[in-house]
Amino acid sequence: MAQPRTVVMGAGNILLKDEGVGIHVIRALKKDGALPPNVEVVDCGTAALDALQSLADVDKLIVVDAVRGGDEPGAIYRFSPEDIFEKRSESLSLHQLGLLEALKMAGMLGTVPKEIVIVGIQPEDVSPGLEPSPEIKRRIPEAVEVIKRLIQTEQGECKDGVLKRRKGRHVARV
Amino acid sequence: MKTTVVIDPITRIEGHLRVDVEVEDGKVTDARAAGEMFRGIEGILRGRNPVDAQQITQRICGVCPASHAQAATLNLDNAFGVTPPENGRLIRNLVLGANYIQSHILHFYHLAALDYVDITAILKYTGNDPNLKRVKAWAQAEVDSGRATAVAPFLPRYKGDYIADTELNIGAIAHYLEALKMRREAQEMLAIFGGKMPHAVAILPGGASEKVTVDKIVAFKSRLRELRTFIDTVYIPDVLAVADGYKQYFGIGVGCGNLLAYGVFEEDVSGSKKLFPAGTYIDGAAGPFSDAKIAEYVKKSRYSSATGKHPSEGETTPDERKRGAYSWLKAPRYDKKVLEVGPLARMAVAHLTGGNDKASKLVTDTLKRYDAPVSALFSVLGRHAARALECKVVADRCAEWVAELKPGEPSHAKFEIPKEATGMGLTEAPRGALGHWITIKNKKIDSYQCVVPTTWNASPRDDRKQPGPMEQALVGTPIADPENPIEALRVVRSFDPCIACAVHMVTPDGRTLNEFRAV
Repeated sequence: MAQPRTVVMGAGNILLKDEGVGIHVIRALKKDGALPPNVEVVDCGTAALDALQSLADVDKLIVVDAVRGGDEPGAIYRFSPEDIFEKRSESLSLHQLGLLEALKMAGMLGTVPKEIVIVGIQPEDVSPGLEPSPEIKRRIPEAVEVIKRLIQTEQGECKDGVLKRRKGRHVARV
Repeated sequence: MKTTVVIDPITRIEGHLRVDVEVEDGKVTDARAAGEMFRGIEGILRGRNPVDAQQITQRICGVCPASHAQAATLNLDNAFGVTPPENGRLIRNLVLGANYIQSHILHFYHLAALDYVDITAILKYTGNDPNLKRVKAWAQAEVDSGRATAVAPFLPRYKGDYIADTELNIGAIAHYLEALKMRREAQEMLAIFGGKMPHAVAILPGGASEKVTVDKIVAFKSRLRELRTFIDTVYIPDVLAVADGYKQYFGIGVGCGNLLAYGVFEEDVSGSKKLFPAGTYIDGAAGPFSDAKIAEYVKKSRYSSATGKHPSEGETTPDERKRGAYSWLKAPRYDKKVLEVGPLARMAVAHLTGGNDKASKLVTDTLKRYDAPVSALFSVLGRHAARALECKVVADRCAEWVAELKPGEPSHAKFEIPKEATGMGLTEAPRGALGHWITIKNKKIDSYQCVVPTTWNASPRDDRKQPGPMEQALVGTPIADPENPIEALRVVRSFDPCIACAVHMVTPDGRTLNEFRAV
């Protein structure tokens, strides 16, 4: 069986410290080296829709982004788009075509990768600055390890049993 | 009876904008536009290598990074005293041209058209087009799911006078899908000479780093051919079709009536001649442009820095609690007057100054079609029409620029970073006039300022209490139902505002909308 085509996509704005953690993580992943040939790393910045449009023939997409899950800074989450679409009480971030809208539109176009996993990192400081805050920086290698494990898991394994209800919130702490 | 209507956040624009309008007897009597985020690029760049400005400023915006790359490199060219070779000039034009094409198509189909087209018509589709069938199935599944986010980003939306004809709506939805493909074509076209997209790496001080090869020229031409066909046979006709159905919008959203264009697309390496000329249109008269007349006012903006400064001397000291301030945008003015920037400004300045015959002809023919005077350009539909016609002018000219490229010739000139220098880079993003200013000390950035198009258009009142262009355009807009102020939204959207670029994050702890929020 051919290796599944996998893309690791970093999303976010590197001008705002931890808001750019997704980009900093994929840069660390690239530096780490030793990625199998079926894995491509993409820096989509804040242009998620453009990136998703060119991912139609991808088997597995791992998105890395800053996510507010409400835990301590640097907490790492893992979930699927459905988890968010199901749970959001009000409509999606209304102010731009963000990651979630882009995923929706890709669904409409039928250009969605077979499997999507979102790896989120809880930000601490999103004020202007090119470097993540110290605590977030410290957790980047951990996020890289999580992604490397996700790259190796078989389809479906990522989604099973990772959601736990806690304090009324669905969180998938890694 | 006076009602205050708050539109916050405005949907489907690139960033966070809040607009408060006062409605009295079914009409807007006053408006305030507030950009909701803070601009911090200046502090980030201080002390860095000047060459980094090109890469870092592109990150301001995911929609028009190429425009920031262009402004930054012109700024550095100017500070370093370097002139790009002919190939470098052409590549920059082609990269920026591709960016215009994708941005204008995105704006009309994916941001603006949904204020007119009834997207729910897809549920009534009975034809056999596989793409439309797939969208129908997707929409139906979304509706059936009953989820809070069903059919986002298309719903929820305001109630309003959407197009009633199912056929027309279905046709528009088909074009919406086609436009998504076309945007991808344009982005791929940009990447041929831009190195990658988003955040092109190949535009540098002194020119461009991509080598010109026959293969690249061929690849660019074939994509451009498709895009030009789409612009001529789908995009422009669709804009005119919307105009036919909503003629009253030639009289709505008039605005300040003054225009500013820095000019864009260098037609020679000295930059003295441009495809769209620099110029102003103030109080009914066309005139020249001089950057010395630009100043940024902050009386109503959340900054404690000095007011009335030229951008090259500008400071950005945030003051969140400043009394009387209501926006994170400064108020740029020209000769103390309020000027609008954007495709309308570029096309009208080109037309009124005789600076571009093709643009003039397209404008004249379109006005003739509606038997409308030049003043009709100052309107919601005038802005949309100018944008679509400009898209054609740019795409057609790209076909000529790509033919002028010389394979094997250099596209880059060497430069030295000076110990001390100042620079200015003026260009036009798809959304309007864009300027970058730099001061270099000890070969490092000492100060860097950007004034972006939406800062002009969505600016708050200035020190003389003059409302900004968008605020002025909103006044007089008829509002049928204050609960659903779709008319006001159409006015705001005609400016194609992009707050992401004008400003950045405001509250570090943000509103948590839900247990997960991909910020």
